[in-house]
Amino acid sequence: MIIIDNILHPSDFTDNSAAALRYARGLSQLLGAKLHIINVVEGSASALTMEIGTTPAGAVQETAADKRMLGFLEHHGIPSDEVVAVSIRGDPHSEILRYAERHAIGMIIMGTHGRRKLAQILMGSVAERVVRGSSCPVLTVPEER
Amino acid sequence: MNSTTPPAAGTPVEKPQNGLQGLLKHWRYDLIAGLVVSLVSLPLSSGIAIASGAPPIYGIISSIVAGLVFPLVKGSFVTIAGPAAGLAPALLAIMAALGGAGDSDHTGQGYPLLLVVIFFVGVIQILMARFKLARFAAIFPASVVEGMLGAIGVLILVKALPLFFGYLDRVHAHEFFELLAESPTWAANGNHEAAAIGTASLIVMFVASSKAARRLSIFRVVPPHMFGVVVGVLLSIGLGLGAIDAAFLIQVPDNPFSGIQAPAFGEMFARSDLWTAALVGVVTLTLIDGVESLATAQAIDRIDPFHRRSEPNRVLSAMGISNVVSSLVGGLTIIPGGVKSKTCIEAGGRTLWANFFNAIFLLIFLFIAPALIALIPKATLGAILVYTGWKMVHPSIGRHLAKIGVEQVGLYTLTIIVILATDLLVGVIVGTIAKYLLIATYSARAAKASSGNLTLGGLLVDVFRDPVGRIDRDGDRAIVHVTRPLVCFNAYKLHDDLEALKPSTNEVLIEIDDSSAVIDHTACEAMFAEVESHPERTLEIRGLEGMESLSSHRDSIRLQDARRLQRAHR
Repeated sequence: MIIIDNILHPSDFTDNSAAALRYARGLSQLLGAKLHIINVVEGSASALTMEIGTTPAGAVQETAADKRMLGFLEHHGIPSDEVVAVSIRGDPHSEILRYAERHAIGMIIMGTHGRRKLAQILMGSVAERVVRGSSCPVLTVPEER
Repeated sequence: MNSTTPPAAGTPVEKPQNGLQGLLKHWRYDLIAGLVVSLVSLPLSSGIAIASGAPPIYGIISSIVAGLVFPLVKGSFVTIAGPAAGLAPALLAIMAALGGAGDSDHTGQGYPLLLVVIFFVGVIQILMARFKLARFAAIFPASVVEGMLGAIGVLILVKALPLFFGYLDRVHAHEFFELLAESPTWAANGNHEAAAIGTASLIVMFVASSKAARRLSIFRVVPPHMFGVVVGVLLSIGLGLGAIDAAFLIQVPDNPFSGIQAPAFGEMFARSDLWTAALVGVVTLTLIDGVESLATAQAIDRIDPFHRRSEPNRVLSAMGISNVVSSLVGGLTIIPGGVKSKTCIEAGGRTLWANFFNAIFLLIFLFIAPALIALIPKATLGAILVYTGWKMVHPSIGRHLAKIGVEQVGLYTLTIIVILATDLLVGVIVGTIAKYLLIATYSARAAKASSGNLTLGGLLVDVFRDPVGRIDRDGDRAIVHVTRPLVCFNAYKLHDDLEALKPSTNEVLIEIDDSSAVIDHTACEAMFAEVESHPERTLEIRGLEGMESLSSHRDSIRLQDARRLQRAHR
């Protein structure tokens, strides 16, 4: 018997990851695992912030991300006390992997088609990097068509 | 040095105010901040002046004028105003068009005529502020603005290379590609000691701004430029650069106000052949001034430890008055500057009076310690400009835009290329038109999908109209219905609508209705900035989830879902 206590679902709040969310919810109920939903807020770079040498205060951005998270949970009808929902700032794949390690995540369930094709060729997909770097099983769920 | 105690989020604190009261209460903080800022603004203003095609003294004079005007007009809190790197290429180009630009030791033929242009820019800004038009600058697509700043960065960088390499002969080229073609000559015929100092200053600035260095608080508090200057001065003394040729060092006249130029109103009015160039100059400067100052004030508001918000129209008014005064005493254009403002915050500055103290210290340097200023090698100023230019066009900006969408990188690149090939104004106009065409293609798609509910013609006009169709109020709660496309051209109206809500409104819901066909990147960014900038009010956006995102980025373009479009009614 495989025991998985924690399942992680990284979300970008788009409908592209809706299918992955369904798998994550279904499997966590089936296995009796705690579901963690995280959203990674990528920092922004502009000519002015680069010149000044600062990015706008991180804490403020996180508050906004938290509000989006609440909206997202509501949209999908997920009671916020049933899941662990967190917004993190940084580079998506490395933050996802770090979170998984720190919170004893037994499985990561994520969508594959967040970024559009050209951007994917230019920058690679987040899911791909997570699969390569993860020490726990990763279930990738393609976008519904 | 870091004497400000930033208040913890959510705790009510007294916000330092401008005016006499603020001066009496916070002068100690602003005095220290003013001193620290002056150490940065001295080399920065000098470098910017040279990049603009004028001797350093003119940059310093502009900073002093700004310091005397801004605290009296108010409008912002911790911004430090003065000449800006972002304006330098435009000033240089205008001067060249009006009869010739100068360099680090001479003023050009076109300088007194440029002053006339700056005077009129100031007058227009005062009028625009009067009619509350400061937010005009917000209508430009974010990626086009980034492209404009990126191109400015490239121009600053290339123009700074002769200084950087210690090349003393006159550079006649002004166009970007001419400059680029000449640059190997500067590298080959420059002075090795000067180039070595420039290189060392540049390396030090990159190291000081690196992630590793920023773990130490000193590198977060003191801007990298300071380290570059200190290393440059020490090396210059060590290598005896001044003994090789005094022209390698900054020169300040014994009487700082001896060579002051006055605006040549008479000549400008008499010479109708210059009017077109002057008009283009006025429009270009007003545009860049407006865009850059608004963006800078917003960026600085976000890092203000006291969470105060600047008033764009007051800031524009202060800029206008400063520009009028500055042009009359021979100075350059003045806008709030990012680097100096950040330094002010880090040094504990609390009110606009830090500007005033910065000005006083600059005056003290000019009159009491001109020899100290004359220690700074020009190659170091060249390095500061190369550093600034590089940061403005840094690859991470393009990468960030690529995450938002390929179309944003397209607009960004297009704007940069057109500006470098033609000029700033043309580049911004072409970029903005390209953006409008992009919105038009999305609108056409939406009109088709809506099966008759929306028309392309209607949508193309709607992008300039107030996106908010109606506001439902329920006590302290307001639901703001976005019924039209929300894009760069009309997003500022959403801002105005939100500002116009009663102050008692503590819960706002921005509802994206089915009829809102498209939301662009600039509008998304602006909308989320609203969410972030109102700690006193909960602001929620609903309806974005059902739209199609062009990328997974929060600020990506959203297109309305076909099913929702078919339900659309207004």
